[in-house]
Amino acid sequence: MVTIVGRRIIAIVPVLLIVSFLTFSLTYLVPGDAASVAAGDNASAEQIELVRRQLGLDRPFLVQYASWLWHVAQGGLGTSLLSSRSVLTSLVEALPVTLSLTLLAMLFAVVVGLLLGILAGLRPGSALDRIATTVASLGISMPSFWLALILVNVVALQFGLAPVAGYISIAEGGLTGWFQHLLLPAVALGTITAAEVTRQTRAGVVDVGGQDYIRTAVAKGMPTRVVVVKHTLKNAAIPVVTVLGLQFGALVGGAIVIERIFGLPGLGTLAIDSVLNQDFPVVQGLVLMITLFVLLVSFLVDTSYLYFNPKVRQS
Amino acid sequence: MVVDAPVPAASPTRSPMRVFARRVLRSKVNLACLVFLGLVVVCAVFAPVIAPFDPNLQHLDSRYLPPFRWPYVFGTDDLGRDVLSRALLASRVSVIAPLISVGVALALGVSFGLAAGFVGGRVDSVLGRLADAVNSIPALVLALAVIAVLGPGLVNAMLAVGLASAPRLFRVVRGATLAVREETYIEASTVVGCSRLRTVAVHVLPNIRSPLLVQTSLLMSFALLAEASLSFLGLGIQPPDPSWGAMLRTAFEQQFLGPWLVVVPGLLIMCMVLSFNLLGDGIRDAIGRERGTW
Repeated sequence: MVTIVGRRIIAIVPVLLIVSFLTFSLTYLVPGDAASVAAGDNASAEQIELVRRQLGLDRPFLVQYASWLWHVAQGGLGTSLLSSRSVLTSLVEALPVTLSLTLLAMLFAVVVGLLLGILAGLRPGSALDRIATTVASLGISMPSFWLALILVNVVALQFGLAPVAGYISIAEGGLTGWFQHLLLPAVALGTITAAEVTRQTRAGVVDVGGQDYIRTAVAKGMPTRVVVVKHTLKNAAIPVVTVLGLQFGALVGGAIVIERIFGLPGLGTLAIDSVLNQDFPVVQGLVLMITLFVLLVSFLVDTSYLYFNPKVRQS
Repeated sequence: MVVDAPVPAASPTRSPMRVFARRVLRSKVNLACLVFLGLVVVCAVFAPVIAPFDPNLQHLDSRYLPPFRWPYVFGTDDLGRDVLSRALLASRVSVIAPLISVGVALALGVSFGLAAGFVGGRVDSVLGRLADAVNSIPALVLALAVIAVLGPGLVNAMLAVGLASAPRLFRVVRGATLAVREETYIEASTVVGCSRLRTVAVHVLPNIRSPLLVQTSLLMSFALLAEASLSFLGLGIQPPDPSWGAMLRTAFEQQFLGPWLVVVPGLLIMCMVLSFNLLGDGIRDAIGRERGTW
């Protein structure tokens, strides 16, 4: 089992290397000469050459990549062209906001999706099942930022039940303040995932429900609650966990738009500002950090199969 | 003298394309989706003829009109522009934008997927790793990075989205090619001396078109959502040109004065995404009945 986990971790390394190479190459695709931009408008040819040597831009491409990678591995992501602050500091500041939002959205998706999926899957073909399936189809097709706009309009502006925008960390406003400010964004962001989880759970519960061991469990007089939780859910969990893992990247992408609507100072807001201002060190740092998190989540998903499915453990 | 040989009349219903089309159209849901998508295309083509007003004409004396105020059926926005006319013109973007990115994704995903699946070996493992790497960057994040380099704009945004969705297509094509490669007719084609390129083009490609069609439909819906998101952020289409996503941006900026502006563009995006999703599922089901699950 340790070797399986170890092999998964080692498999991440080449992927990260390719991503870092692609990220580094990005700046080389920018039209124009970086050295002459850095030297300023009125620089002479000699000055531009001097700047080029100072920045190390006269070295071969691969040498530059290697030295950049060496710095990145030590946490040195450079400084922002826009704010002259350390990229790592900006990222670390913004990360808790995006993580809070994404995790709350996932929590919402799991709770709602499991509930709807189980209710629908236990009685396939019933009215409840048809309603849940239809709602799930609509939910998957609904742009999350449109739902966010509607929620702001109705819940926040018309009824005043939630703040319209802004973020308060747990340290500043306590758990309630943090939760209140993230509730609407998390619901808007998590709805697509909730719909996906509903579909997967329903399919899994319907599938497992027909198995012999479920009939045995029911026949020997096990309470329905125990059958559902211990037998049906654990066996239906693998596709659900897979979907959650696959959806994580989409959630981070969706968070970019949602953060903009609710004025949350997270990675998404940072991303849009740096893209509009061509602040490449920040863009590179963002891509690397987000990819690292996506790989981490997919690693956790892979590891969770070991818990859910004993067959994987033995292979 | 040429004598007409009695050619057996080929029964037209037997052509595989027709069987497939009939099977897909048997479902009313699929039919409804196709009708809606057809309607959007018609609107896109004839937008200037159908639209009651010039989409960019500002009626400054009638700004923020709620829906159903004649002659502005869906109301007017912050500059007094007719929402219906703008939504009609914006359907052009909703047709063209997904076509651009799915085109890019097909060009990359199909060619590399065929190469990886058919050639195998080192080509396969290198391309596979590359696809894994690109796939681990969330599509919207990758799109943002590409836009940072190329600059905002509809075409740049959709090229980026196409690049980001290519790995998904790559995996499907590679998987389907691996399955087809073991078939006897591929061996036969190689034995009679067909070049690899010909074998792939004539024998492999037609046999993987079903999963390809399903994925294309699902990618269209993804691309439409991505276009709407990027235009909403101001990184896609540039003002004053309308797209449904850009109209939602206006609605967001004017949410205090014109809260109803959010309804029409959002509903249109949702219906179109829903149509592509349902159609993808429908085609999958139709094929499933044909040859079991794949």
